[in-house]
Amino acid sequence: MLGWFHKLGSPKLFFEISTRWQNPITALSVLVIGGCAFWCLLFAPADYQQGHAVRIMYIHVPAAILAQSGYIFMALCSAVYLIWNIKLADWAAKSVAPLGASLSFLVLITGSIWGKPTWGAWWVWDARLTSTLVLLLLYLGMIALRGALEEKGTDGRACGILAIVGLVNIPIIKFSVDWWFTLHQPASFKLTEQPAMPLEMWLPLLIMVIGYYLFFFSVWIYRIRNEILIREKKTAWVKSWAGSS
Amino acid sequence: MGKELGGFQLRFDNIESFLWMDGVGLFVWSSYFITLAVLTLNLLIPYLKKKRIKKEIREASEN
Repeated sequence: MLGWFHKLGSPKLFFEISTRWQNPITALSVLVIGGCAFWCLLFAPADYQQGHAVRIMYIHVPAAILAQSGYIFMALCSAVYLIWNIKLADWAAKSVAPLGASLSFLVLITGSIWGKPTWGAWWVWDARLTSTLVLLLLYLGMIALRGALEEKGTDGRACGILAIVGLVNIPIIKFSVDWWFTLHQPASFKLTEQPAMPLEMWLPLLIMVIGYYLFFFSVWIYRIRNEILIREKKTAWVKSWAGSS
Repeated sequence: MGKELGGFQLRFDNIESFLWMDGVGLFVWSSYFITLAVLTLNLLIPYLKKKRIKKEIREASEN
């Protein structure tokens, strides 16, 4: 098991395997998200209280799930790097940060636009919104820290520690709607309970979440492959790859 | 309520009601367009970077 783990830590092997997966995952994610967007805009029912504004949920909730899952994934990669010193794991964590930051930005902006017609306010300083803003700042801090320390070569260790410490924010985001009084609605999905909304609403939402996951991994693969190419640019296999295709 | 398409119920009668969405169209459409822009940039930036890296590696190995 550990042998396989270390083998996949080889940049060349990872690059070769990801070559086969990159385009199919990208195409599938575009198809799922594009098709599901039509479904959500045209065929999903309006909410009895929010009316058609509920259609924003289908792009807001998946972005929120992925911004948080992305952070957990980044922290896991950082832990692998700090424990086993596998460089590819550090590059994997680095590749998550810009993507996670953009998804956090998307959560905040679509949430703000959704808030205006439903709550009557673009922004309120409640626990869910503030902890999501902290998530965006954590991602941005990670990018800035890497930029500052990259030349010294200590960026992986510093960012790894920050990623793991910042993990404390994830349960705060998740449970903020239960722990504190908030304008924000409770979780749309729970693994242990039947969704509160009808099938015509949660099914497109579930498919959109799957589409966002595919999209996340598609962009992450693009980014980590670029990182491999930059770091390994002097090796014979990268030179032969650049020359052949 | 609109007509049925392939077993799915269309939620709008015409294009105007689809765009207007009972007064919240601007909020819904701006959210979808911002999402489209952010997701497209997420794909485009690393794709263009890959092309640039490839060109640089090729030029470096030719010199």
